[in-house]
Formats: sequence, C-alpha cells, structure tokens
Amino acid sequence: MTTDMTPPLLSLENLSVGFTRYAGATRARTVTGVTSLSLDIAPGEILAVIGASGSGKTLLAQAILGILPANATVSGRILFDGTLLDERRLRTLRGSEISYIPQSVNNLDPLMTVGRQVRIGLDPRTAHEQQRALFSRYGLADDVGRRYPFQLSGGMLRRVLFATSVRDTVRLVIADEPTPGLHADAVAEILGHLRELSEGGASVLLITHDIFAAIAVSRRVAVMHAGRLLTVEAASGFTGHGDDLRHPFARALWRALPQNEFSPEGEQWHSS
Amino acid sequence: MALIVRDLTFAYPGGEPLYKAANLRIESGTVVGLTGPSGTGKSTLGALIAGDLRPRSGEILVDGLPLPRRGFRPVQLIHQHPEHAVNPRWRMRSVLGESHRPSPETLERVGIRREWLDRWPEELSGGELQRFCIARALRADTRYIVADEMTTMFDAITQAQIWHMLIDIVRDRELGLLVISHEQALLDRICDEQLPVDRLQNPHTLSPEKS
Repeated sequence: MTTDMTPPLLSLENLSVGFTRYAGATRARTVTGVTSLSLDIAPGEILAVIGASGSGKTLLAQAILGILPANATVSGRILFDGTLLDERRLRTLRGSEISYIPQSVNNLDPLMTVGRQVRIGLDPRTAHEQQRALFSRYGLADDVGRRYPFQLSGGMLRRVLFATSVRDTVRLVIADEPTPGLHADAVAEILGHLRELSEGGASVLLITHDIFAAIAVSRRVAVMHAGRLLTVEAASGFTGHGDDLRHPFARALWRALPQNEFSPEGEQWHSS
Repeated sequence: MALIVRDLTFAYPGGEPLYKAANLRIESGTVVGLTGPSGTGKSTLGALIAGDLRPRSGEILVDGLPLPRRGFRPVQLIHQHPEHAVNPRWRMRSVLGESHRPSPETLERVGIRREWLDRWPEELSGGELQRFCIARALRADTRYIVADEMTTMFDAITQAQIWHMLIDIVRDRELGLLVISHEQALLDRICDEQLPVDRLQNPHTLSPEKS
C-alpha cells in the first residue's frame, strides 16, 4: 500500500471549489464544483482519480495548479511538501516542480514549432540540449522539433505534450485524461511514460475516466462523483465482481462496464 | 424492412472520397455496430444515413422509400455531446416539442422525470440531457436510429442505463439501430452484427457479416 510513514508530497484538506453562474439571462446561482475534498499523495506514488465528465476531477487539477477560471471560489488548504501552496509559491513551482500535462492537444500553440514550445521555460544556454534529450526520451526524431503541430499525428502530439511538461526538477505531475480515444498501443505507451516518472521519484496524479488505465498503473484509485470524493479504493479491488471494493458506487461503476456485467443498477447514484 | 445503402459515394469538398460504392444493410429490429479507427468516415456515414449530409451518388432506402429531403426524417441521429444538440435558451419542454410531445409512458421509459421538463439545459447533467435527445428522436414515425458515440462522455453506470433503455425500445418498436463507437467491449455487448467501416469500400459486401 502507500507509504504511511513518509509525509505526503501533496495534501488536500477540505478543498471546495464553487462557481457563480447565470442560468437564463439574469438568474445568478452558485454551482458547486468540488465539495470538501481531502486527499494525500505520497512521494513517487501514482494516484488515479476517476469519475465521469462533470464529476469535478479537472477542477481538482486546476485548483492544485491555481489555474481556475476567475469566477471560481476556492476554500480549504493545499499543502505541497508540508507547506501551504499559495499563489506566490505556485509561481515558482509551476513548470519546474509541479507540471501539468493537459487533456487536449489544442493546448499547443498552432503557430509555434513544437521544438520551441518544448524549450519554453528551459535555461536558454542548455535549452537545445535538453530538448534533444526530451525528444529522445519520448521517441521523437530531432527534425520533429522544426515542425508545427498540424504537421504531426495525434500520437506524436501526445508525446510532445509530455516533452513540454516534464522537467528534471519535476516532483508532481498532473496528467489530465492523457489517453482519450487512443488505441491500446498508444495508451500502453503513455501509461509506460507515467510509470517511468514515478520510478524516477515523481508523484503522478492521473485523472481519467478509463478505469482500466487507472488500475494498470496505480495502487490507489480515488472515485469522484458529482463533486465529491466518494472513496479511495485499492486498485486490486477492481477485479471479478468487485466484491473487495468498499464503496457501493465503486462496485456499481465496476459492474456497469460492458467488459463486466453491463449492469444498469446503481440507480440511487443518479438521482439529482 | 430494412435500411439499405447502395453504391454510396461521398467526399468532403477538396478531399479524397471517403467511400466508393459503399453498401450497408440494417434490418429493422437489429443493432449493427460500425467500427474502425478515427478519421475513416464512421460519423460521416451516420450523418449521410440521417440525411444531414447528401451523398454524391448512390441511394439510401428506408423501408423501400428514398430518404425524404424535407420534413421529419425517419432516421434520427443522436450525437456525442447532447449539450450541443439542444437550444440552451429553451426549457426542456420546448426542446422536446421541437419534434413531438412524447407520451408520459415514453418519458418514464426513457427515464425523464416530469419536473425536468421545466428546467433549462444547463440545469441537467449530460446523461439527463442525452435522455431528452433520445425521447426527442423517438417519434411514432421514427424507423432507424444512429447513435454516434452516444455515451462516450458518461460514466459506466449512466452508459449501461441508457443502452439498456434504448435497446429495449428498439426491440419493442422494431426499430433499427446503428451504433458508432470506438469502445469494442461495448459493441461486443450490444450489437447483433459488427461491420468495419473499411469493408464498406468493398462493393461486394451487401450485408454485414456476423461478428
């Protein structure tokens, strides 16, 4: 299991995220995105967070990174390395010790060569050298650096996203849906890269709605639903009929998969 | 009774033809899966069958009649993102009313609660909105349904609930269903037959093979 003795790298304490939204033209109301969530990640751990779209998992990532939209209100505390992670600390850690692999390849700049995008934030004296090292790590040929995003395939762009995010100094990687709509081989490759990061000592927060990807690389799986963290399950519980899963929602989710029972039960989780 | 696609050709302006003489047959009362990598024309075929796009040549016959060019279409397309398929400034009652007024029994069967009818699209989850899109498509004269990545965005429980509901209705009403999905396990679970989209190129393929 997790290393209970080592202090966590990242701690979320009672984190809540809310929004002010307009329904129709004038009716303002507060929408809750994440409700009092508490969670720890150990150094070197890959922790998966699963949940449907709208369950609040991307907001969780954005809250940690301090990149929530302006109309969001956050309460609770985020500790990194035992110290409060505030805006000032984030400015120095973001991109060096805390990195983000975004969900969409549209996060790349379409008008800049991918080599230049990978060199952003690197020491200009060694940037080219580091870029070459990152390219070889992620299986990209050197001449790819001179190309623009539109000239690359979806799979190559995924690797470029990794190369833009991963630095030698990184201690926490937040990967938001890194495997959407990809073929099994491409998924396995990406999960391999995440495993490599964790073997190098970095913690990885893997946000996904693919349970199989989650259990392939992580030991613990946090399950979110409607903005709440319902349970943190051992990845090993997602097997057979899911009898070892502690929370009924986790069991219902597992049994509903077409690979398993395709069971439509779990009705009580969908009453709004 | 069947939906028959015969010698269909289509290309986007300036693009290579996606199909040359594609053939496809969906018997009413059956569930047919369309498989293949992204970018090979699965969604385009769905839009052609539903009449949202017009083929360059070839014919689409719905129970023996050509696809009508105007008015209600007997082939209804259900999209991946329901929030983009409803008017955000209409209440759900009007969203349904654009097509018809489903009976209380139909609404119950599809899993729509009466109080949702007075809500705005924004106030419903993706799964709840998708149920409205399904109810809207289920007019009495609907004969075939194309479900294009219909539950890709939802969690497994919502996915299972929606498919169980729709397939029961398809069987009862003897509708035909074309399922477009990249999730093989889902297709294996729900389809009577599966057809790889590249097989459509073969002019000798007149009916999908048993999977």
